[in-house]
Amino acid sequence: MKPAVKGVRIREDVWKLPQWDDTLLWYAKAVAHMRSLPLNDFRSWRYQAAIHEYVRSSDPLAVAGETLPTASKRARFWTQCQHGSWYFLPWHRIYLAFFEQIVRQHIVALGGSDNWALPYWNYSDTGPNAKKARPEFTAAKLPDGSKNALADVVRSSTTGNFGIDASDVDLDCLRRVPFKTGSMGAPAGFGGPKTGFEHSGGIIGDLERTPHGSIHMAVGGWMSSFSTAGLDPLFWLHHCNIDRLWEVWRGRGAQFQNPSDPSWGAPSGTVFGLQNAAGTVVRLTADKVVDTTVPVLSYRYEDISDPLAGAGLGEEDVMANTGPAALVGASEKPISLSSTSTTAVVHIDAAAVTDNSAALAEGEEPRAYLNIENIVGRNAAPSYKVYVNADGKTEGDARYAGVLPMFGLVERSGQEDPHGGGGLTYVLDITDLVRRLRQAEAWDNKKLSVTFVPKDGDKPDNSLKVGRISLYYR
Amino acid sequence: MAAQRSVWQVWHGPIWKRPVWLDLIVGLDADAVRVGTLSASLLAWLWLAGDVASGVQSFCLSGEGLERLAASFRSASASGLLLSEAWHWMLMVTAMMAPLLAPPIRHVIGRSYRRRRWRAVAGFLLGYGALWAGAGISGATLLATVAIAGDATTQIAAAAALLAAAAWQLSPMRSSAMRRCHRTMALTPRGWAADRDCLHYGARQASACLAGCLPVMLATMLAFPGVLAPALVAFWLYIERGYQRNDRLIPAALLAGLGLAVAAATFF
Repeated sequence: MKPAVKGVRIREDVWKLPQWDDTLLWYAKAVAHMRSLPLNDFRSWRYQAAIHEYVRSSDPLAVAGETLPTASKRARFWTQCQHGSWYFLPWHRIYLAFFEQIVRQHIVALGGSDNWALPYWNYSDTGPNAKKARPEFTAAKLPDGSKNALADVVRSSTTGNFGIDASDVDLDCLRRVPFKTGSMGAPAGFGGPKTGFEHSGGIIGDLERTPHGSIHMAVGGWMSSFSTAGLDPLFWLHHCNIDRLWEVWRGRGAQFQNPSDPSWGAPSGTVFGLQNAAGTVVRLTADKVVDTTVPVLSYRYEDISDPLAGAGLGEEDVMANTGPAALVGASEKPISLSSTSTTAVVHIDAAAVTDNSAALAEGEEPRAYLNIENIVGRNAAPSYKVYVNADGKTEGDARYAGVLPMFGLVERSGQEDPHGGGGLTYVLDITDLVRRLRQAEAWDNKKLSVTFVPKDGDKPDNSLKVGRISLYYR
Repeated sequence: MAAQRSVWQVWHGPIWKRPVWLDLIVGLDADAVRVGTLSASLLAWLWLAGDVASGVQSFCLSGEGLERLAASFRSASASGLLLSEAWHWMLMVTAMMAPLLAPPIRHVIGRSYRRRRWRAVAGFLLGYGALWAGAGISGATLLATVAIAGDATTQIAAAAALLAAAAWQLSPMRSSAMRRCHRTMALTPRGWAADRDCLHYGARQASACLAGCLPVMLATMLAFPGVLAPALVAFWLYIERGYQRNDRLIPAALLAGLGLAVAAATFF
C-alpha cells in the first residue's frame, strides 16, 4: 500500500501487489464488516451495490422482514447507474470515489491505514496472470483463518480463471476520438452518446462495450447483472480500471478531449447527488470530476501510461466528425441468436452507396460501421463474437469485427427500462476489416454476411433476437 | 440503464436555483428536426391563439366545451361543425405533441435510406396522427353521447376528468407508457415492409403518448379551455418526458386539488 501524497491516495495495480498486501487484506476485512451492516445503512455493502441498481426479487442476499430505506430514499439514491450515456464515466467515477472513502472509513475504524485506496485490475496487461483474478479473491480463508469475504460471491468460476481472452480486454477503444459523436449509425464515441434531455436509444460507447461489458459477462455470476454486480468485490477493481482507462485515453494526445458541449457539465448538465462517507449528499456535474486529485475525489493512479504507445495515431485512429453516417445496407428481418453460430445476410443498397460516395474525396474510402440494433432477450445470454464474410472461418482475426457483451440485456429489454425495452444497440467500426476484406478480394459490394459466435456463458433462450443489422458509411 | 435523471436530481432545492430552463435551451440539438417540430408546434399554437382571439367556438378552445360538443353532434349542419372540432383537435395535438416527436423522427430518419427519409417520416406521422385522430373521434363521440344522454355539464366533467387524471398520474400503467415513449424499433429498410414499419412505429409512439398524456390533456381542455393552460401542461409534459423518471406525487396532488376545487365550485 503506497502512502498518500498531500492527501491524494494512490490506486495501485492489483497484480503488482505482494501476496495479501495490506490493500487486499484490509479490503477483505472491510467487505466482511460492510456485509454485516443492515441494508438501510448507506455504509453497508448491499446499500452501496444498490446504488448501481436494486431489484428486490433478484437480491441474493435479501433477508425476509428486513428494513429497506424509505421509498423516497430509494428513488433518490438507488438504481442510479448511468449506462449507454456520456455520463457513464463521470457517474461511475463519483460512485467509486465515495465508495472508496466509505471503505477507507471502515478500514480506519477497524485499525487499518488511512492510505487505503482501491486497487485496479489491469486485465489488458501482458503478464501471464493479468486476465485472471488475484488468488486473494478466490481463497476461502484469510491468513488468520477467518472467512474471506472477497471470495464469498457467485462467479462463473471459483478458480479466478474466467476464460477471459484477447477479445474481452481489447483496448481498441483507446484509439477512438472524439468522446462522443453525434450521428446515428456511427459509433457513439469513446465515452458514450449524449444523453440527458434527449436520449440516443441505448447505443453503447466504445469503452463501455469493451472491455467494460466483456469483463462483466466473462466474470459472470453476480457481475453479469446490473442489480447484483456491485455485490462482487471484483466489480470495484474492474471499474477502477475502467476509470483509469479514461485517464489513459485523455493522456494520449491533444485530440483526446472530454466533451466541450455545455450540456455535459455545469451549469446545464445533469447534476448527480451521491452520499459521501459522512452521509452528506454531494452534488456534482461531470466537469467537476475531470481531475481525480481534487479534494472531493483525492486519488490518482500509479500508472496511466499509454499501452498503445508506438502504435501511432494515424488517420485511422481519429474519427473526425466530418459529416453524418448514412445507411447503405440492412437486414430485412430480425435475427434469432442461439447457443450455436448464426449467420445473417445484409443487402447493400447500391444507390445508397453511390449517394454517400458523392460526399467523399477522390479515391477516399468511406468509414464503415456495423450496427447491431435493438438486441432484446428475456433472459441472460452469453457474449457473442461477430465476424463479417467469415465463410465458416471464425478462428483468428481475419474476419473478426468485435464482441457484443450482453451486459444489461435483460434490464434493457424489460418494461422497467427507461427506454421502454428497446434493447441494446451496438456499433462496431469495421473500416479496417472492410479494407482487409477488399484486399483479400473477400468483399462483395452487394451484400455481406454477419456471423454471431457465442462465447462461453449463459445459454440463451429463444427470446434473444437482433432487431436489425445495418451497415453505415461515412 | 441510460441516464435516469430523476426530477429529484434536478429540482431538488429552490426552483430558481436549478437551471432547468437553461438545459431546455442549451440541451437542445438545433438540427432540422428540432427546428421543424418546434416550428410546427409554434404555428399550431399561433393558429389556435388566433382562433381564440377571433371567438371561434370549439371543444378545445372555449368554455362549456361539453355542451358545445353535444350541440355539434345534434346540429343539422353537424358535418361542418364536427370538421372544425376535428381540425382544432389535430391542431392541439400538433401544438402539444410535436416537440416531443423530435427523437423518434430522428430515429426514423437516421435508420432509413436517404432517398426514402421523407417517405419514412410521412409514414411515421401518418401512423401517429391516425391514432390521435381515432382517439379524438372516439373520445368526442363518447363525450357527446354522455353529455346528451346524461345532461352532464362541462364543470362536472372537468372535475371528474381532473380527479381521474390525478389517479392516472399515480398509476404504474402511466409510468410504463412514459418509458415506452423512448422505445425505438428496428425498421425494415425498403419496400412496403418499410412503410408498414414506419406506420407501426408511429402508431406505437402514439399509443404511448395517448396513455401518458391524453387524460391530463382532456382534463385541461375541459377545465381550462383556451391556449394558455394547454401550453403550460405541454411544457410540463416536455420536462417530464425529457427527464424521464416521472415524479408522480406533485402533479397528482396538483390535479387532485384542482379537481376538488372545480367540484366545490360546481356544487357550492
